[in-house]
Amino acid sequence: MNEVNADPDVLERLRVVGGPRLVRELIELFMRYAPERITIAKAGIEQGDLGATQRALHSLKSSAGQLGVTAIQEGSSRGESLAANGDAAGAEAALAEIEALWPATREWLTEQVRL
Amino acid sequence: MFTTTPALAASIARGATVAELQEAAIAGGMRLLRQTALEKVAQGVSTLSEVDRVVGIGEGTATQRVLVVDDDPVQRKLAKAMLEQCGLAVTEADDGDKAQALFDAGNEPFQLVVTDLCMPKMNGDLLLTHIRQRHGPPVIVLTGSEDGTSEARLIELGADDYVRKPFDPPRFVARVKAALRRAAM
Repeated sequence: MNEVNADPDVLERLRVVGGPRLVRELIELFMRYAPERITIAKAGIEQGDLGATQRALHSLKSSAGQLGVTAIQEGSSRGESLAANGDAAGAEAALAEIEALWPATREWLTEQVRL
Repeated sequence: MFTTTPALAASIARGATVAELQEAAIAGGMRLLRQTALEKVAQGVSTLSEVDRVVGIGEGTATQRVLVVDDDPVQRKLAKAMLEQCGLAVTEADDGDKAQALFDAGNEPFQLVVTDLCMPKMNGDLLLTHIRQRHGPPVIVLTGSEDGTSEARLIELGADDYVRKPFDPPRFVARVKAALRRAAM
């Protein structure tokens, strides 16, 4: 683990089975995809559609976990559960945490692309 | 054990591109050693899936087709890469509606469906039920659920297996191969 709470071993295992190019492509995909999911999740709260928030965070949780981005994965999991239970304020707080984590996470992922 | 020609070995030694490897493989009419492919991957010249795909051209290796359904492009891309790496052909769909349309059209017969559960539009439950009602191929469900009861429910709905997300690629491939093997019996 490191300062952004990510697990580089997860990416290393992916490099072994899929090669460095696949890992670079997965990371680049995630860096485009994650902000979209956050936006959809926020819109769900604003529009009173917690189902949309739940689905967006569920998806973000899985892809973050697949790349070893543990803090985003955990925040998404928490937000997903809160949204599923109808707790809009709780889900919004979880989203705020994810947004706060994103800049450092993006920086870490950018470093991983260069490896 | 596969063999390689001297020309192909020389290409590999000088760090050939995938296109050069393809030319050499076709010219030599032989397949790369798996170890050699792994070395190419380790060097970052190519991915194992690319090398396998290139070397497999014209040899009829991709005879079984898998439909991969997931709205998450990261999971979908990883699943596709892993399946192609072991010689399977893959068709992708990013939601259940598109998957159902592909399945119903029947243009590409699928030997297996791998589907996410939580998707916009038609979710994995409904897609699974649709495929089962039409006596379709085996279905493996990818689930990010941490609730074990939902997995039991999926099996009751007709899923042949389930894989928890995030998934471990070698285990995922092993489950897919096992499902295909059972279906062929």
